[in-house]
Amino acid sequence: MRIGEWLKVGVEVARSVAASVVSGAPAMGRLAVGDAAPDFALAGSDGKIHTLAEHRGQRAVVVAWFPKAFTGG
Amino acid sequence: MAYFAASVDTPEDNTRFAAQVGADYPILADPTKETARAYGVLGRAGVANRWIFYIGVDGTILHVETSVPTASVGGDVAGQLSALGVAKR
Repeated sequence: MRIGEWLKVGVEVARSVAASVVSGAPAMGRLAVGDAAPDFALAGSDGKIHTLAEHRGQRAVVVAWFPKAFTGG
Repeated sequence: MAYFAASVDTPEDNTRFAAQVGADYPILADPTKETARAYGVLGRAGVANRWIFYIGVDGTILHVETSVPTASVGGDVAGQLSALGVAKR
């Protein structure tokens, strides 16, 4: 292989590594089971501000994230 | 148990969306994406992935469900809570 071809291979490898870093484990790497859940204060559709802290010591909290309103839930 | 849905939409959009789907739970709005980033749930398209976070009474992460079918808004939340030993109250 000529140098140019080796460079192309190197670029492809770098690209795929970068892609796997970007697509993989953004959550599991940073926030794992047993970690303290980050607090939040967010406006709810019921007009109230909801925080995680208000439930601590009282009850479990489930937060179901979804991509976009009006697109199937 | 406190149940919420959440997205990076505006409170106005989520309020209209909640009315449209008849949600009996609050849909939280995170338009600044600060919370989505803190939870690592923000996808490459700049919106949240369809993931469910189960947070214990002590405030720690119990489980993260990352393969939630689109059709079921909440996934099998009741079954998962039972499996985690979390009282449904």
